[in-house]
Amino acid sequence: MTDIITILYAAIASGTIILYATLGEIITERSGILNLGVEGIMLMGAFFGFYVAYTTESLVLAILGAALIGGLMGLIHAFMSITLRANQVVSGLALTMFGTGASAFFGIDMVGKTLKVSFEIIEIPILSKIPMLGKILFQHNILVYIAFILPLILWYIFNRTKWGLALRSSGEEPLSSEIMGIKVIKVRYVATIVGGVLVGISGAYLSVAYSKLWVEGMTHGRGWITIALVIFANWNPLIAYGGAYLFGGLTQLGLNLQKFDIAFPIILLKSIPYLFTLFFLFIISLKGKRSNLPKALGISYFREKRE
Amino acid sequence: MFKIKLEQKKRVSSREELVITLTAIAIALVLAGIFIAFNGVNPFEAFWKVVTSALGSPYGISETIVKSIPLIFTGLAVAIALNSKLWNIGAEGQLFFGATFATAFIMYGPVLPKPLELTVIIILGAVGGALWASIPALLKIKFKMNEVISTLLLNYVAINIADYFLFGPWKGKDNFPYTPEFPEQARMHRLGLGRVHLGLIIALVLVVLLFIILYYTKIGYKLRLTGSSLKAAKYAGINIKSTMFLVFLISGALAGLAGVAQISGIEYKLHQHISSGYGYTGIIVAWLARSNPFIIVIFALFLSVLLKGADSLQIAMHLPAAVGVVTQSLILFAILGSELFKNFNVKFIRR
Repeated sequence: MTDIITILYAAIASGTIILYATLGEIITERSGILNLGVEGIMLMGAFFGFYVAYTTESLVLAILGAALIGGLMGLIHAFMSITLRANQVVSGLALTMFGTGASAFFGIDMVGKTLKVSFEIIEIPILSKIPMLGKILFQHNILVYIAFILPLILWYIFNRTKWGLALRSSGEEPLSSEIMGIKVIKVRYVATIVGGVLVGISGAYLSVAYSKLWVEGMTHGRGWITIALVIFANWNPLIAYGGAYLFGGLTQLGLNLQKFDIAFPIILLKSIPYLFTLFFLFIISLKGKRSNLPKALGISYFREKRE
Repeated sequence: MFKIKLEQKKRVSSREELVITLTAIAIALVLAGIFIAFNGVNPFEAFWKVVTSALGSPYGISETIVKSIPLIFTGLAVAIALNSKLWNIGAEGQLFFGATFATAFIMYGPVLPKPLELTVIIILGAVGGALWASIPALLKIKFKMNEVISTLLLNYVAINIADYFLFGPWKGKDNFPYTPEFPEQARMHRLGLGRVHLGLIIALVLVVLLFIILYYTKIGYKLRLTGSSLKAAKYAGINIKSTMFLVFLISGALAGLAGVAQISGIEYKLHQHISSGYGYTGIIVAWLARSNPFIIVIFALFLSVLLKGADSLQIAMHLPAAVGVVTQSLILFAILGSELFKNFNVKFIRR
C-alpha cells in the first residue's frame, strides 16, 4: 500500500514537469504556431534556472531566469516562423539543437554542483491530513500547487475572455481574424513567447526542484513527449492534467516494476516513457480526428496575400 | 517599430540564390564567433584552428572525410524521405539499430571469408535500419500518427536497446559497455588515406544510384510526385501508402548503413559513442542540400569540417564539445531564415 502511495506521489511530482511544458505548448499551438523546440527550451530553462539558483541562491530569481530564457527561445521561434515565414518544423528542430548545444556549452561548469537552496514541501492545512490523498496531493512544493491551478486559469482565459477568443481564432482562421480586427501576428508572437516561458519554467522545475542537479541533456526527450501529450490532451488545458499525471503515473509504475516482483531487464525500463507516449498517440488515433486541432497549425501566414 | 513588406519574386537566379546562402552561412559563423568569444577564446583564432585542423594536413583531410561518410548516409536517409514530404527524424535510432543488428551477427554468426562476412553485415545493417523505420512507417500509414514525433521517440528506444546489449550480454571483459573487438573479417578495407574506409565508396555509389533512381526511373517519379502533391499522385494512380512505406524502408536502410560504416569501418566494436549525432546532423545536410544527392556530399563534407574542427577546439582551446552543435543549429537557422529572401523582395518600412 505504501508503495502505491509513493508511486502516486512521484507521479504528481514528475507529471508536473510535463504539465508546465504541455500547457505552454498548448498556448503556442492554439495560436497556430507549431513549436517543436520544446526539448531545447526545456534544457535551456533547466540549465539557466539551475545556474541562477546556484549563483544567487534565490529560488524566485531561478524561476524568473528560466522563464526569461524560455521566453527568449520562444521569441527566436516566433521571429523565424512568423516574421521570416520559415518552415516551422525545421525552425523547431533547429531550436532543439540550439538549446541542447547551448545548455551543454554554458552548463559545463554546473555539472556535479549541488544547490544550497531547495523548494520546501508545504503541507496544506487540513487537506494534507486526508488519509492517502493528503499524502499524494497536498505535501508538495509551491510549483506543484501552481501547476494544479494553472490549467483552470488557462481554460478560463481560452474560453471566457476576449484574449482567448483572439488566440483561438488566430489558430483557426488567421485571415478572417485579421479582418475582424484581431492582430494575428501580435497574438502569435505573444503566444509563442508565453509558451516558451512555461516550457522554460518546466525545465527549472526539473533541475532545481525535482532532480536538484544539472546534467547535460537531462530532459531525455520529455520535450518530445510534451508535443505528443498536447495532441493527447486535444489542445485542452484541463485534459492536460490527465495526460501529464497519467503519464507520470505510468512511468513511475514502470520504473517500479521490480518492486512487484516482475522480472524485466532494468535497463530496458528506461524505454517505458517513450513507449507509453507512442501508445497514447496510438489510442487517440483510433478515435479519429482531434476536434480541437487548430486548422492553421504550422502554416505560414502571409498577410500580404489578403488582397 | 518597422513593418516588412513582401513582394513575390518572379524568378530567382541560381547566382542570387548562392549569394543569399553564403551570406546566411557568414551570419551564422559570426553568431558562432560570439558564442566562442563568451568562453574567452578569440573567435578568429578558433575559426583558423577549425580550418587548419580539418583541411591543413593529410591527416586532417582524411579525418574530415571519415566524418563525412556517416553524414552522407544519414543525409541521404533524411533526403529520400523529405523528397516525398516525410520527416525522418529517426536516423539516429536507425543508425544504432542497424549497428546492433550487424553486431549480433558478428557476435553469434559463423566466421565467414572477409568479402562474404562484410556483405552479410552490410546487408544486416541496412535491414536493421529498415526494420526500425518500418515501425513509424506503419504507425503513419495505418494510424496517421505524426512521423516527426514517432521517429524521434524511437531514437531513445533504439539507443536503449543497444545499451541493453552493451551493459548485458555483450559487455567487455573489463565490464565496460563495449563489445570485444571485431575479427579481421568484419573490418572494412582502408583506402590508403588515413582511416578512410570502404564505406566511402559504398556511400558515393549510393549517391549516384539514388540520383538515377529519383530522376530517371518510374519509381523515382512516383516518389517525387508523392512529395510534390498527394492529389496529383492519387490521380496518377500511385498507391500512396505503399510508396510511403517503401520510402521509409529505404530511408531506414540508409541510416542503418551509417551505423555499419561506423562499427565496421572505424570503431571495430559497438559502443555507446559510435555516432556524434550523425542522425540529427543528417537532417541539416538533407535540408541544406534540398534533397539533391550530389549536393548532399558537399554539405556532408562542409559539416564534417565543422565537426572535426569542433573536436580540435575542444582539445586545443578547451572549448566545450557542444560548440559544434551550436554552430550547426545557427547555420540551420540562418539558411532557414534566408529562404524568405530567395522568394520575396523584402522591404523594411519605418512606421
